[in-house]
Amino acid sequence: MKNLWLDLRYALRQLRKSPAFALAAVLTLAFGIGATTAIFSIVEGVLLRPLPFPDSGRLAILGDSLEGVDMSGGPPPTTAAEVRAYARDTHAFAALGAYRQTSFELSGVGDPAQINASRMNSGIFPVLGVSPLMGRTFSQQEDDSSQQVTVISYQMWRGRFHSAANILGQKVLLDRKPYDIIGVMPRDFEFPLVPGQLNRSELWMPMSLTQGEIVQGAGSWNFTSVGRLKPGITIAQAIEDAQPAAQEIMRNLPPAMGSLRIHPVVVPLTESTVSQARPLVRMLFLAVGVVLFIAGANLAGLLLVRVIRRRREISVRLALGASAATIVRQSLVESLVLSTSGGLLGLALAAFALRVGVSFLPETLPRVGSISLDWKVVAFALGLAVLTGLLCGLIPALTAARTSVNEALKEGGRTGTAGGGHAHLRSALVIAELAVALVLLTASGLLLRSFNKMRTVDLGFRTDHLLSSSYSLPSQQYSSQTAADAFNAALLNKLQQLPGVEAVGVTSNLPASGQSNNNAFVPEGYVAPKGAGLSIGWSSRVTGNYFRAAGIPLLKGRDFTLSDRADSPLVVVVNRTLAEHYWPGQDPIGKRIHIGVAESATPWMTVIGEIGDIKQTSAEVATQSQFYTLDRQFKASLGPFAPPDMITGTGGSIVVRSQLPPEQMADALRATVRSIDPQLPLTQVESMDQVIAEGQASRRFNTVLISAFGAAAVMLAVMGIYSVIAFSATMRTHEMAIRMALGSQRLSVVKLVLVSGAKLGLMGCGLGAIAAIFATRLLRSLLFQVDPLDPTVIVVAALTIFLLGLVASVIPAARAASIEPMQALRTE
Amino acid sequence: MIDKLIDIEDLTKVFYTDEVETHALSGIHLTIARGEYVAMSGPSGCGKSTLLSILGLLDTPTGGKYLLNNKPVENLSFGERSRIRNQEIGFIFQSFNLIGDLTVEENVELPLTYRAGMPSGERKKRVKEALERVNMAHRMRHYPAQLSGGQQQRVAVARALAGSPSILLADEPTGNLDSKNGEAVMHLLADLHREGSTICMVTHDPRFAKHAQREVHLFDGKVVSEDELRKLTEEVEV
Repeated sequence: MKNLWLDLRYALRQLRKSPAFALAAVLTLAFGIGATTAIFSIVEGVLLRPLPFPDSGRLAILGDSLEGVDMSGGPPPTTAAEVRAYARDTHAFAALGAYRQTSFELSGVGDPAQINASRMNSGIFPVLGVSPLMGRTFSQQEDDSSQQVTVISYQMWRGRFHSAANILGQKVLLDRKPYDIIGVMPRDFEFPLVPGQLNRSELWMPMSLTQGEIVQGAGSWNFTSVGRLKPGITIAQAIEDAQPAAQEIMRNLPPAMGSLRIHPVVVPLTESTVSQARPLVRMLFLAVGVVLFIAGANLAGLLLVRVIRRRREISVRLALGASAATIVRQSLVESLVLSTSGGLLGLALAAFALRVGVSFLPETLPRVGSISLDWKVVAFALGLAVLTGLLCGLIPALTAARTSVNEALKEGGRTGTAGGGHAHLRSALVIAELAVALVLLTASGLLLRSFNKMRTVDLGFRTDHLLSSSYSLPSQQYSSQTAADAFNAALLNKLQQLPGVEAVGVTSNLPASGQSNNNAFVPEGYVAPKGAGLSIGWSSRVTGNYFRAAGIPLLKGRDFTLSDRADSPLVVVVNRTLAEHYWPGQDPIGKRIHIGVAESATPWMTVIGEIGDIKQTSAEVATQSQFYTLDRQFKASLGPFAPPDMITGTGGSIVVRSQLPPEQMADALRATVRSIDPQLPLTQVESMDQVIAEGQASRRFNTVLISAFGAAAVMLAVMGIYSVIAFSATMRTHEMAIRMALGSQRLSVVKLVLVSGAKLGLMGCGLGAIAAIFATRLLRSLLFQVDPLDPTVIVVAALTIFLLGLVASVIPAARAASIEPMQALRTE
Repeated sequence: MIDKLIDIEDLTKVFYTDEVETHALSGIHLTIARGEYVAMSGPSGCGKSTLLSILGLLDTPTGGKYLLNNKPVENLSFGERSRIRNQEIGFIFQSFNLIGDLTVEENVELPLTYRAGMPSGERKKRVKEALERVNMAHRMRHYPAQLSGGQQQRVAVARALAGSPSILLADEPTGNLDSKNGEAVMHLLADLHREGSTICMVTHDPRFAKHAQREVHLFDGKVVSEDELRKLTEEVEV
């Protein structure tokens, strides 16, 4: 222990005497460990940490998979009827509940706002095993009898109610209906665990399923069932257990849906929550791992150089009786001092990066609230620091212990040939650095290319001079079709009269904004090939002059007009993909489709127009069949499935095309809505360009972050090649002096050094290109219209690394060529 | 009966460079008694430094026997040789080989820190004694760079003495010193010998060799008598 203390003192003294080396090593490691720690805290918070519910490993989603229907992209859903059927007829779950995300206009406390909320049945809270911080959750009786009670989030209690102690029993207006606050959930409670921060539920209310949802909503998979598996029950057993319930559900389906084949699906809640984030988080972790590897290799190289420079001192120690273990220990202590200093600084950098950076994380990332520097992350950072120190210090330490005492002492201080034997080791480290830097640079190149490709995708509509915003009419105020129609008519009329406005429309689904609404439909005269699934299309309900406002070109037929009233013959507009797929080579105008499946008794709608394809959810998703109906005809288009009390036109996205920049129209839009309903909140008032940018934020984030790591990796690798070439040139000073004394030109010396740099660069690039071929396959799910083996990207990345390596060799080459031969020989 | 500290029989050392064999030492027989002061001399390249390296267990012989304190040491492991070097041998190098980042005190303490179990107090005591013996105790807190060449060599001698070794091996200890400092170091070694130390010194300077009790002459890797050495040297010069 005493000796360890002496080693530590000596290491600190040595480092104090070489501040530039110590600073370079600590900063390099701090960057590597800091970045790795920050990303690990995301990995830990998002992927590794158990969900914030007791015994969360037993929580699972129970839902459906429909034969022939792609339902990927979220937790397996259920219908309202199935919520009850699964709860009644399955036995694998100790408790089973269900929820549905929704939104409400919140008023009565603070400014009115549109908020996210969840309707949940009373089974959910026992499933999750979380008790409220104050008050209680709702009971089965309150759920069944549609009591207007709500449990609010801690954040809402703090923000809107200023942590009022008498919160319980206070009322809040949701869609202008009064609800009693009966509980406040704990600060960390979040459910459902949706990606990002914007869509979190701020309050929870009883599900109180309506008869309409159960009967007419038989074809609406809008609910999610969550259960707690009984102890010892596996996922496979739970699926098996749900089979009879699914059979029973199919038997009870309305005749119109008789052809549906339902298979129960059970997915662990953790898996369902994090699965989509996994490729990105893995890629990030890999990227920082590469950066850390390069930083570590650089440190190992620097330590090796130090060992070579201290060869004589080490040989004296060995001559005086130091054992190999003593030399290794001393060398490792120095490396550990550097790595732990780097680790502590890295931890501080990671804390800073997380504090600043969490708000920049993409909205596609779930559980962002769990990302923090907890003890596990701190332990990870310190463990990483120690491991890095040991790994980086081991080769130099062993090299030091193997110093040939006799030879080193005989050299009498000469450095001309010292360390020549370790040149291969240092070169190997740099080749490895260049190779992995090339892999990361290639990855970053592929993502940049993907991002560029995505930006140049034709969205099918004009995003310029287009303002959008969402609204939702509260059911209490707009309880009749007349009231809703009056609002919409006033809205369109007033907006159209604003100066500079060219066209105004409303749509249920704003394109390229991630909103999805897929519906089954039946095209007239189309005979599906055997084994084909249902015909599914992205459907949107529109009002006003929507196509003109959005800039979607009409290819054939006509647009909707005012003469297409709610009680007129039903009409529909389809996109080119739908027309060409179902009626190839035919004019779609006059053809008919109806909603649902073949057996559905929904009425036919006549195609009156064909429009161009648009990117329905995002630029990177392939265009599918799309059909647009008039909002005012929607109820009629559902036929017998439409609830009798259904009101159409209760919300959507307003799109306003104007000659003025959209930012200048925003206040006019707000004022117009206020003039019709002063209390109605508008959400997401933004230009269409902003909407598109938000949709691309996740990809931009991936690209920027991985490119930043790629740049850092290249920079570190170039520093590595510089240090190796510079050191080797210094070691060869004597040789260069002799060459020049014998008549060599300075240019030949420059060439000699540059060739050594070029050789390293070539070998690193060759190895890196091979590694990239394998490694970039991991990127496949993050790429868009770019092959992971894109030769252009690999060649450009390799050329970049090679040229930068050559540039890094220029300074040592120039320095070597500038030596005065006689002076160098005399010094030797 | 002679108390043999070092007993070497038929020692050889061959260096192999590519396909060339260089016989640095050929059939050396040498005995050094405890308390003896031996000087090894000979022309450059005769093998005296190689022999000293083998005597100090810094190198291993290619053949022959080497008994140190009556124990064979020619085939020991690296670790064993380190341990014996630390406890039995004190080195004095031509270029001092002090560690620039350590103070005088720390340099002298260095070999003692490699001895397992020696308490810190004991180490400090020995360092102080050794430095007092070479009259350098007043420079304890100095760094080597702050000392003259002669002072540095005295510190190196103190370092060699601190561990109370069986033998002091000095390789051209005056080679980097001026004549005045060289003489001073020679007197220091003579004093140490008088106080009972065994010393084996390599030197090519006949003036300093005279300080020793016995002179061993080497030529082309063999031990020769003084007359033989003179004759061989003359032949080479002719």
